Amino acid sequence: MNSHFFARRLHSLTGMVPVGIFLVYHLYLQLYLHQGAEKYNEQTNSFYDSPLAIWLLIIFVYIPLFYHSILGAKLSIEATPQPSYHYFAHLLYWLQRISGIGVLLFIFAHLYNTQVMPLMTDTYGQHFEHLAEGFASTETGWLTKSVYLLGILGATFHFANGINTFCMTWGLALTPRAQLRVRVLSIIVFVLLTAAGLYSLSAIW
Amino acid sequence: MAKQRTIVVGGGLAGLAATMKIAEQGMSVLLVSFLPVKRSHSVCAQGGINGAVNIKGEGDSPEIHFYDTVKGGDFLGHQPLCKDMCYHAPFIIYLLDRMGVPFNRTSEGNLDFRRFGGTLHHRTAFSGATTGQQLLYALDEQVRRYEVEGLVEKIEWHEYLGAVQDADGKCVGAVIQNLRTGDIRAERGDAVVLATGGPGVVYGRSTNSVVCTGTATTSAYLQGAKYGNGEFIQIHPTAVPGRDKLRLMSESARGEGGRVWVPRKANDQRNPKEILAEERLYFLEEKYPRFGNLVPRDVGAREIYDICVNQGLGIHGDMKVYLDLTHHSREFLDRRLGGILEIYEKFTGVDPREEPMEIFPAVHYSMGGIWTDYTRTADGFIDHQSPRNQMTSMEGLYAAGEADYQYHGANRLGANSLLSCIYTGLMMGPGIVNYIKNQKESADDLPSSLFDQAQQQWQEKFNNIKKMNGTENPYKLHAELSETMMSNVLIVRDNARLAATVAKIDEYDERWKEVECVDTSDWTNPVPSFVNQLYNMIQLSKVIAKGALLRDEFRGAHYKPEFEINQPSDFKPESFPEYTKLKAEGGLKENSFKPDHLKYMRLYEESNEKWLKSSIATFNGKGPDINYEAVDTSLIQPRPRKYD
Amino acid sequence: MSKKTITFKILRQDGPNQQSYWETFVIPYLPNSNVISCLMDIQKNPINSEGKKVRPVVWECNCLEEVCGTCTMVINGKTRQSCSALIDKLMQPITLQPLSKFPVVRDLAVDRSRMFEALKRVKAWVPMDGYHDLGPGDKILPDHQGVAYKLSECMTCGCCVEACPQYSRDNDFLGAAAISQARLFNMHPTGKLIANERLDSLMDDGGIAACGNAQNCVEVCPKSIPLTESIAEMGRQSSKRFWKTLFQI
Repeated sequence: MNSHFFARRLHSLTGMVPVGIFLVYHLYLQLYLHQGAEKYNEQTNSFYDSPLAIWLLIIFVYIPLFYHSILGAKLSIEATPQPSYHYFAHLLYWLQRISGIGVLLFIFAHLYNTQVMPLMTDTYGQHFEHLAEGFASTETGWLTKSVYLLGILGATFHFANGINTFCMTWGLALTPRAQLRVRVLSIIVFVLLTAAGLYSLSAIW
Repeated sequence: MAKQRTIVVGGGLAGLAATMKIAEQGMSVLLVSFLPVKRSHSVCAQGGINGAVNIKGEGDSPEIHFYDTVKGGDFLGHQPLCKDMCYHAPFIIYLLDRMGVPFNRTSEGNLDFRRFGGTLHHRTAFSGATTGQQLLYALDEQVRRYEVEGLVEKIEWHEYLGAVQDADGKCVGAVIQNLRTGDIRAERGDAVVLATGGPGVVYGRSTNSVVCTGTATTSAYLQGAKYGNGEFIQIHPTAVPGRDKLRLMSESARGEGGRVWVPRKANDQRNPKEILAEERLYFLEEKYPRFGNLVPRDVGAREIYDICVNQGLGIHGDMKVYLDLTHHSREFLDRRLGGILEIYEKFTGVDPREEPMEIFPAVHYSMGGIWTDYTRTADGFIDHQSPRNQMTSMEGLYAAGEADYQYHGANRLGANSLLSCIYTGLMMGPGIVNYIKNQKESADDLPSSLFDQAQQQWQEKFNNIKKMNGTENPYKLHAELSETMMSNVLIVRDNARLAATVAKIDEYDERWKEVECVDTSDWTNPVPSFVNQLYNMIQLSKVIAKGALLRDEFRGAHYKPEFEINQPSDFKPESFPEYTKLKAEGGLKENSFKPDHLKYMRLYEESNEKWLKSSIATFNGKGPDINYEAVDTSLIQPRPRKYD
Repeated sequence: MSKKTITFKILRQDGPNQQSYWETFVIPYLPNSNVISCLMDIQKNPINSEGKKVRPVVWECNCLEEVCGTCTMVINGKTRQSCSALIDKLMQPITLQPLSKFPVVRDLAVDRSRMFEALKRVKAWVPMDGYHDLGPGDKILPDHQGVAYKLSECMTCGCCVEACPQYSRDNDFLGAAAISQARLFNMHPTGKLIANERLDSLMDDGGIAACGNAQNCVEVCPKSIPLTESIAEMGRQSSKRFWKTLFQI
């Protein structure tokens, strides 16, 4: 084993375990949007009650996420387009890379919108209001809505399809039949997570 | 003494087997190959490899294998070699098994064997229907291991042009050409092995690969080495027509129960599946109740020719018959014949699991090749330590595989070629090492002028080829040559046409001088190479055609109806040894045998006395001189063949 | 589409570092043609569509029945063997290009040495004590043989790596073919004695971790070798070795 192998396995693992689990947890939290501002803000803010929260977030989410995205972006750039091969798995291969880069950009925008800007305007903690205002804006609302829509779709796709590759990489699904089962599972995961995300957004649409 | 090494030319089964056997003994090898060795023509062998392992408990033994082999070859094979080969066959199969060849298995996990032509036993080990490919890969892998260890240096995209000879005519190296750069250089080698396969491309379209031009062996012949039994060209009964190639349909299709038939009614236009069983003529099964569809190839090809040409019963009046596997389940066919059925389907668009295949005979193998020597032991085996084994008439130059001539006589049995390739490669190894160790000086110590001279001589030849600016396109001229060979030196041979062919080839020889070298560039230019190959093919055609013209008999693949001695239908081959015994003891009487039997045996004996000999061609500067040499038939007394 | 002629557009290149250029050839239609037989026709009469006499096209081929792997090229955008590319099944004009993942030697001939080097890297052989008589090998059940045979049909033709977006001229990826060969030898009774050495190669630079799961390899493989299954299997074996070595240190 050398650093190349280790780096790639770490990439696979970080995508699935800390980042993937965080995504599921994060989408779960958003379901509280339907419970109104107070409840939602309470749920989100309660996470930060612990003094360790920010460190946990950095160690288990931001660093793995940063690692996963930097290496992922590098690999995506290095891939050679093979436009004449129109196979489904090949399409997924490119969607995975495009969604990965898209989600990375979304995360920056999302962080700015929900973390940096509130800190600057000293309105940190009023998550619900920020989101709702952004969506309701007559001038930029459509843009915010589209960005969120694509961001959620990209993230759920990237994660669900990542399960496929994860199982392949680690050798969890060997035969074509097993790989098909994993594919079905990943489609279910994709549909459920996307549905949950869209349902949450519908509260403030 | 400087470092010694062997040059092996050719990366097919024989070349690779020789390479690994020599390397195993610590001797370094320079392996020269036209293509990456994994792409050699051996990949085309399909059906399997023979060895009397007797897995089915049929009482098979190497002795019976030996008998079937020499009988299949119409007793022209050199018996000590055939015997030694057949006795080593089980070991060779086990060796390949240990190397990782994925041979098909029985339900108990043993090697599985199937039937093949010319025998009544299950004697052919197989790996699906791409056995040659699988064997080649296994040997390639072993050679790759030695390559990593540094004992083998492999140079691919190089063609052998000729031998470097010292003042005494001994071979001390090889002149080779880099097919990428066009550079010609002379390599030093204490022994040179030609394992360069057969000459099928002489016939244009055959079952052979495009590199099988016979150029290397012909070059040895042109340099003075003897060439044996050139006229014995095997026609495989079952091939698939194609514009660029006649693709082999393995004998294993029949070994697994494939049946050959034609509609009883001439020019029956119906779909074969609509033709009822009683309307079909299973001509091989009818004429040869014992061997049926698994008669030897010379017999099969002749019968198909007879059905199509003489009786006019070929499919739609063409030279084609049905080969039918549709009575087997898809699952069975895919497991045992998958590779070849896929090929058939890919190239014809017809699924052979559902519809009978349309097949016809095609040039397949050369029983003849460079003359090589051997040392026999008193009990009729081969002394494996002898440096004489597989050595050509040029000292230091060896030949193996299809390039040699002694194993298959007048007709090769199916699945004996993979065996003879690997056997010769392995068998010659120790002798070559002994030969090199006995040399007083190494090729490395010889003056470089010797090698420079050889290099310059070939360089000049190629410079001249590049300057050729005549009117003949070399590829077109080759097409004409092969057309001539195909129409006149094939299944049925006739002296008047053969004489005309010999004259015609002399014309091609003249026309070759008028060739235009259509590409004169330096980098990766296959044209000068081809022009040189074409010259050699013309010279070899002369050997084949003249050999066929001079041999006035019917033996194995060499069929001249004019000289056929009709065998009485109730004749038993065992009568012949009785006859000779009685004759030797002086007890032969006119009533010892039925009169027609006696007459037949006398004619047979007379013919054998004259023709049971190897024809040996030597180059006289213009064409071949042909002489005849005795064959060692001391182990099994020759007798008439019979398969019905 | 006229059946009377066949039009070829061929990407030609005179040598390794030369500029490539397209050349068109129009040849008479003959039934049952494949790409190779047409290239042979061009060889016999090397005249391009402008009526100019040119050098015959250089390509590599050998067996012509899709078992040697030599004649692989890119035909109408897709990698395949030119011997089994039947003219009647191809859209015209037929474009022929050399494989893009290997250095071009000349015209349609490329240098695939890298694939054979990859076989050295993964030690694709069975270690043996010698070539003398040591009796038969192990018993092997038919199902096991069936899997091994399929893998062993790989003819190193290069289709899998040509279609792979992760394999490029400037990286050192082993490619699906070599990974699958490592699997073949790791499942052989004596081949597996050096299984860990093969895994170490697979876990080295350009090894199995460079696979991106595009799965084009398995789609284009002319022998239908289950390459993705092989990659997953070797992924599993290297995962085991990964955890083992991780906790041994």
